[in-house]
Parts: sequence; C-alpha cells; structure tokens
Amino acid sequence: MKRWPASPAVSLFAAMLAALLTGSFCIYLNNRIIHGMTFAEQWSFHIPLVAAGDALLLVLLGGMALLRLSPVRKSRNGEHAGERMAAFRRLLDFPLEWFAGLLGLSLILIFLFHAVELAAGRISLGAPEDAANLAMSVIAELNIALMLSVLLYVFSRRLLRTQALRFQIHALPRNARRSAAGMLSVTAAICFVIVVTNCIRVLEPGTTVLHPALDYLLVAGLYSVLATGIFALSISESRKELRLVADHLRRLASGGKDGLHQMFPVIALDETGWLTGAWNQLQQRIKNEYEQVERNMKLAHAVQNRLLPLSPPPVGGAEIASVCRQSSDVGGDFHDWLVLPGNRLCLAVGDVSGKGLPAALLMCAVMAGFRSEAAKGGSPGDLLTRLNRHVHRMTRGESFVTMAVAVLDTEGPAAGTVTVASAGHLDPIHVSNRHAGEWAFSSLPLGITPDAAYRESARRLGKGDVLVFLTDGIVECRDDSGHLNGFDWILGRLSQPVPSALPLASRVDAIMDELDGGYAAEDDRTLLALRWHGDDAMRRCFRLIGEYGAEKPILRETEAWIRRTLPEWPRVDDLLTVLSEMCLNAIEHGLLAETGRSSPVQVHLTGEAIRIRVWDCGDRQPAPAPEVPPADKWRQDPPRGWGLYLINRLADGFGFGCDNGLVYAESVFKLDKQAREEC
Amino acid sequence: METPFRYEQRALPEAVVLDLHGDISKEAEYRLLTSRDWSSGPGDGKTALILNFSRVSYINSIGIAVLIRLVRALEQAGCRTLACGLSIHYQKIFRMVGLTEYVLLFPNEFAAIAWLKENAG
Repeated sequence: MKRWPASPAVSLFAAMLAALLTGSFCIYLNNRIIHGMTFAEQWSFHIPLVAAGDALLLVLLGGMALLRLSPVRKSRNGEHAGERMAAFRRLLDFPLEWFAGLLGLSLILIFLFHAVELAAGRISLGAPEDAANLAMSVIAELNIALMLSVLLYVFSRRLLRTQALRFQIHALPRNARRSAAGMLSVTAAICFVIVVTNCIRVLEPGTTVLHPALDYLLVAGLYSVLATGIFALSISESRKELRLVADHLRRLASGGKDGLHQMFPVIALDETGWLTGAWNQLQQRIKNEYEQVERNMKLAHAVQNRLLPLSPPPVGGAEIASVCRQSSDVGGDFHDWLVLPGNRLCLAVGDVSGKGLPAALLMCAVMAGFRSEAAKGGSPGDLLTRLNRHVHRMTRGESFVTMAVAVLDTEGPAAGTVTVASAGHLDPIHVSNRHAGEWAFSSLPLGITPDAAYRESARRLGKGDVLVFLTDGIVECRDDSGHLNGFDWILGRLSQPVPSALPLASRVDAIMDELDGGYAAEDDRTLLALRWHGDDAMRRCFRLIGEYGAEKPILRETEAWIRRTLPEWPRVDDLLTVLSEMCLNAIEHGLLAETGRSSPVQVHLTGEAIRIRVWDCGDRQPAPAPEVPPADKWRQDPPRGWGLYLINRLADGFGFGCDNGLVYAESVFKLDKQAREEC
Repeated sequence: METPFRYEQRALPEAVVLDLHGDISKEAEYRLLTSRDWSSGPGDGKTALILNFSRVSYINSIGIAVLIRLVRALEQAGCRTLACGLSIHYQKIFRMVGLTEYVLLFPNEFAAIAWLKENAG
C-alpha cells in the first residue's frame, strides 16, 4: 500500500505550530505594549502559562489531526467505495473542525488563564478599572484566537486540497453540502469583530498614546488592513478552487474527442464542489447518451454490412472482388451483385450524397430498389431509369445517388459481353493488356429529375480483362502533404503487371491497403472489380476410362477446384460421393469395366448450382427403375445398388438427358441449399 | 487410380481389430471377403470385431456392399461389429445405408474398447 507522503502532515504540524507561536507572541506584545509589562514580569507568570497552553493546544490539535486523518490515509487507495467516500468527506470537513477546535480550546484556555490569575491574586476585580482591564485583555486574546483560527482554517484547507484531488471522487458525498458563502460571512463577521473590538479598546481611558482621534484612526486603519488581509486570504482560497474547475473545463474544451466525457475530481464540499458534482453528473449523462448513440451506430453499421453481399457468385468465367470501407460507422457507398436468368451477372456500385445515417438510410432503400428492379429484368439503362423514379420519389431532388450498373453475359455467343449504364457515377476503368483506360459515360445522378433516361454502352471483354468500378472516396482522397490522389493514381495501379494467378481479391485488397496507409479516409471508399476468364473457365471436363479406380483422379481434381473456388461451400464431400457413384455407375454399366472404353465427364459451376454430367456410350436413356428399400438391399446377395440410392439422397436433383444424340446422367447441387436431410 | 487396399489384424483381450488401409472399393471385395470366412466369427475366439477406418479416405458403394456382407456374416456368427476413425461424412453415409443399425460407431479405438469393457458379458 502506498504511504501518504510526509510533507502534508509536516506542513499541517508547521502551520499549527506557527499559529500557536504567533498567538503567543501577539499576547506577549499586547501585555508589553498595552499593559506595559516587562519581559521579566511576563516571564514570571504569563510566558510559562501561555507556553503550557500552547503545548496543550499542540497536543490536542495534533491528536485531533491524527485521529481524524489517519483513516483518510488508509482509505485513499482502498477498494471499498463507501470507505473512500467517508474518508474523503472527513478530509474536506477537517479544516472546519480544526477551526472550531482551535477557537473552542482557545476560549477555554483564556478562561482558565484568567481564573488562575485571579486565584493567584495577580489581578483583582475590586475596582471597575480592573474589570475593564480584564475585559480588554479577554477581547484582545479573543481577537487573536479568532484571527488564528481563520488563518489555520485557510491554510489547512489549502494543504488538504492536494490530498482531496488524489481521491479522484467525482460526486459530492451525500448530505455533505457546505456553503462557501456561509463561511465567507463568518469570516467577514470575525474581521468586523476584530476591527470593532480593537477600536473599542482605544476608547479605554488611559490608553491614549498620541491623540484620542489619531489613536482611533490608527488602530482602526491597522486592524482594518489586517482584517481585510484575512478576508482576502479566505476569498483567495475559494477563488483558487474555482480556478481549478475553470482550468479543467478549459482543458476539456481544447482537448480532442478522447477528453469529451472526462470528469474531474471534487475538491470542496461547498458551491465549487456542487458545481463540479453537477458537471460530472452532466458529463456522465452525456457519456451514457453518447454510448447509446455509438451502440446504435455500431448496430446500424452491422446491419448495413449485412446488406452488402459477402462472397461473389461463381458465375461461369467471371471473377469478382470488392472492398467497401466506410469513413464513419455507417456510410453511403454500396455495391451489389445478382445472377440474372441465363447466368447473366449483374453488378452495381453506388454512392449516396452526404455521409452518416441519412446517407446510410437512403443507401439501404436504393439497394432494395435495385434488387427489386433487377429481378424485373431489362437492360442496365432500363433498370437505372426505373430506379431513378423511385429515388426521386424518396428524395424530392434534395439528395442524389450516383450509380453504375453492369450486366455480363457469361454463356452463349455473347459470353464476355458487358453492358454498362451509369447515373452520374465515376467512369468505370477497363484494364486490357496492361492498359487501364476510362470508359466514359455522361448522365445525371439518380434522384435529380424524375424523367431522366439512362443509356447504356456495351463492350466485349477479352480473357483476363478487368473492369473496375469505384467511388469518389478513392480518387478524391489526399495524402499527408495535401496532394489529391486523382484518377492517374488508380489508373497507374491498375496498369501495373501482376501475375495472372494472383486472385483478383488480393489485388483489390492491396490497392485499398495502400490507400488506407497513405491517404486519410475523408469519404467512403468502394472498389468493385470484375475479371473475365472466358466462358470455359468454370467447367472441368474429364475423360473417364472403363477401369475401377479411374474415378479417383477426377475426384481429386474436382475437390481441389471446388474447394479453391467455393472455399466456404459445405457440401463438397456430398458432391464428391455423388460424382464417384456416377462415375462408378458409368464404369460398371456403360463402359463395362473395359479400359478401352471411355466417357466424358463434366463438372459445371454456374451462378446457382454445380451440375455433374456423365455421358453414356449409348443413345438410349435408361428407364428409371423403382428404388429398392434399404432393408431389401441388405437381404440381396450381393447387397448392391447403393450408388443411385446415395445420389438421390445427397444431390438436389438427378436425371438423364440427351445432348447431340448422346445420353448423359446429370445430378445438380444448388449452391444456396444446405445439405439435404438424412434419411 | 485406386489406393491399394490392405488390412492388418490384431487380437486384443476384448476384440479383434482390423486396421484398414487404402480405398474400400472393388479391391477390398477380394482382399477382405475371400481371405477368410467371417461367418465363423472374427477369430481368436473373440466375439467382437473393431474396424479401424482412421487410414481410410475413400469408400464407394462397392465398398459399402463389402462392409454390409462382412457385418451380415458376423451377425450370423452372433458377433458384434464396431467401427472407429470414420470421418463425419462417412458416418453420415453409414447412417444413410443403415449400417449403423448393426455397427456401433466410436471416435477412436480406445472408446470402442472402453465400451466393450463396460458391456462385457
């Protein structure tokens, strides 16, 4: 446990000692000047008694400090909040307790001193002058006690304030309210008493030194200055506490976001403490509100992220990669992709004007509208024209959305043809043979006018060509020196030679990581890239020979390809079993297990499904045989026929077909389906 | 092509263990079923056979038929068949074809032996 540093205790003791010595010296001076008592006369009676009184006060006040403050020392670092709060309150109460202690004990000692004087016959109350003398002495001593009590209160409060700060208590203790104004009134009253009583003493007959009026003015002036000094000292302590609070506030005001909800410690039980406590309460409330807002924003961020598509659809020959990084929790950038009938791939990238929650809300509505309109069919231009009417109805022209839509044909004679329409969006970049160039469009953003029509343009992508869509956050960001990123930067990056085997996602990630590393994110950034590999890229074709075990290399290659292409698809084992059984069926029944015979096998990955096709040697489709129940199969000898049984249970579809006069068996696995129920 | 099938037989106090290696397919039919007559039991006077599949990565429908014949033969001899080391996928296939009606599945050989000890007699 940390020890309380010795300095505050020593300082308190020193203050107490100084107060008592000052008081004693004042009494000595009073006796010497006012009553004309020599040092020898005082040494014989007054000085020993006053010294004894000082020693007694030292012991009593010291004991009081020890008794009241030692629990404070123990509890300051304690874990129990109640004990810490009690100790803190005791610490702040102590100066007032010391004030009352010194004043009370001084009164008792003054009474005892004069009682001893009377008992010892050093004074008498026989004559009115003697009583007046005694009264004047008591008034003088009382004045000294009052002054010293106030000074001791002020100094002890100053000394203990540092200790109070270390408690880091942010709320005012319950029922512990004091009034600075009340204490200042008491101090003012004490100062008034000091001035008035000392002026009265001058009126005492026989005390004139220069001239009665002059004496009166001198004493009044002297004690007024003294009283004003005490009062100013007392006020200065309250002012210091207020300045501490003001300094905290100023630091908070000039600090960053981290300091927004900071609280500062209570250092007094009076109005300054009330102010600090109230401020801290306000800060806590604002903090709670902010935390609630932040929680909501995080939730909104999660919801928005869930709206964005996760893994791209494996549509024949098209490789897609995208990154969307919002500059705040929620933003207005979005991208999406859908597979349209005929394995046509539809891509969209958009940017809603503005930032934060309003932009995010509009973005969600636009994404929903896009999906709805895309499902209705039509060209990219038609889609944007219809979507524009929805957006204009929502925004009334007060906000707008830039958006680009592309549709890629992945099959048939038009395979590789991409049709693009843009609504005020940044031009897409077409990368072909290491040359990156903008594909220029000119059109209004969505939401500006209700009857805008959007035209489209088409291009045929070559194998390995990349089409990139981006939002302005990528080209309008600045580096540390304020230099604008611009289109040249992204064109340069996309023109750089990269290994053809490098996944598109890695390339996109590298570009975005470079942006994040060197350019401040002032706006949302989205990059969507499409690479065309050719319409034969999503097929694997094999030749199965009529030999048991010939299916194994086909299984190995298919497994590696599917796991690489669809790393999260959970039905690979089911697919391999079905492929194995289809091959085995062909080996046994179609190829008659003769190594000289062979059949083609094809695994075709489309946007929605994986189709396994195994061709037969003949041109007649087998008649579907009724399925034998498993219990009956068990009784057969040999118990065969499990292949078709497993295919029917593992695949989403199985049947026979004919292609160019050749019969084939085909099983289908739908990509969006979970594993089928087990029998 | 097929990974050659072979098996090793071990006799434990509680059962006979067959450590299976390679593909359970056409080749297993000859090696496993023609090597001995399982309808007289697993041998060594034991009444339980543990099939250890931990070194098997491929089982096709021919292999399933082989296993059914093996289990059926042991059933006739009044013996019990246990299996361990099967992947999750093949555990599912075993359930689909009804092998789990006759074969108890365990994650490993220790669990299978522990079960036999608990259910001895």
